[in-house]
Amino acid sequence: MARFTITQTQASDSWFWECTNNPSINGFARSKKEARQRARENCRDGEANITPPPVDYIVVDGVMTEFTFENLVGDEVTFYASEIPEDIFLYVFGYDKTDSDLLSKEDVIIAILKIWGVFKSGGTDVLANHNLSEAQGDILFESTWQSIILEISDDETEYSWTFNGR
Amino acid sequence: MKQNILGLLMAGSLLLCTMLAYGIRPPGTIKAKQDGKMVYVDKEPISHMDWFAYLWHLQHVDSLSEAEILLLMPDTNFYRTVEEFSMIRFDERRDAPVVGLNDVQKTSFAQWRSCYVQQKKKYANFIYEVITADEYDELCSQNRKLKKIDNEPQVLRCVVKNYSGAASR
Repeated sequence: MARFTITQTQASDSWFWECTNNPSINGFARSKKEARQRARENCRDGEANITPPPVDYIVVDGVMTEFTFENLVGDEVTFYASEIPEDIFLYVFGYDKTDSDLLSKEDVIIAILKIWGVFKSGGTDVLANHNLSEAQGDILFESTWQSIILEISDDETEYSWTFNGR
Repeated sequence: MKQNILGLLMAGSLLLCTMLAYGIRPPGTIKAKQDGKMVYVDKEPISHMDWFAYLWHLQHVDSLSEAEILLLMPDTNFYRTVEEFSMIRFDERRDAPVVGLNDVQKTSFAQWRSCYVQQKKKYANFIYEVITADEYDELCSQNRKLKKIDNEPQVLRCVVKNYSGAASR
C-alpha cells in the first residue's frame, strides 16, 4: 500500500509528491495525476498505518445522508448512506457505542475496506475475496489491531495482510 | 449565406478566445495595473518549494550536473550550508520565501519558469520577468490588493507584462 502526500507549487504549477513513511523519496511532476502515479510507483514499501481518517458528514433531519474524507492515497471520497449505513459508519469511526451484536460482521468489513479504498467485491464472501481469514476478519470487526501491513499485488488481485494487535 | 455563417463562426471563435484569455492567468499571479496597463504579478514571493521544483527539474529533466546545480544555491549568508538549504523541504520553512538569490539566479529562474509553464498551451503567451523591490513597491502604491512582506527586498517576485493583448486591457 502506497502512502504519500501531494502538494502543488504556486509559481510553476507543478506538483510535489513525497512518501509519508520516507519523505526523502520525493519528486515533482507536471500534473496531479502524474504526481500520484509517480508516488504510487515509488512509495510501495508495503507499510501503512491505516487509521480512520478525519471525516465530514452531513446530517439532514437527524439522519446522516453522506460523509466525505480523504482516503489513503489522498483522493477525496464521498459515500452516501445507501452505500454505507449510518449505524455502520458510526461504528467504524468510533462515534457511537453501537452494539456490535446488532451489526453484521461482513457488512462492517465491507464498509472498512470501502473506506480504505481496497474493496474488491463481497457479500458473504468478502473475507475470501480479500484473502482474509476468519480470525483476521474478527480483528477487523472488533477493531483490536494496532497496525496493519497490507500488500497488494500490482494487478490488484492478491492481498497479503499482517496484523499487529493491541 | 455561407459567408454569413462563416462570419458568425469567426465572431464566435473570437469571442470565445477573448473570454478564455480573460479567464487564464499565469500560475502564481494576480492581476494588477502598472501605469494604466494590465500586468500579472506574483501574489506571494517565490517559496523554497518553488525553488526546489526549479532545481529538481534542472537536475532530473534537463540533466544539469551537480556542479551546475550548486551554482544555483542561495547565498550562504542566509543558509549556512547547501545541506541545510536542501533540508528545508522537510520542515515548516518549505513555504517561506527563498532569500539570498543573486540577479543571475533570479533571471535564470524567471526564464525557466516561463519555458516550463509555456509547455501548457493555455499559458503559451506568458513570459515571466523578475520584478525588483523598487518596481514592486511602485506597483503596490498603484494597487491596494498587493502586499509587501517584512523582508521584501530579499525575496524574488516575477511579473508578466508582455503577453498577447496585454496593452489594451
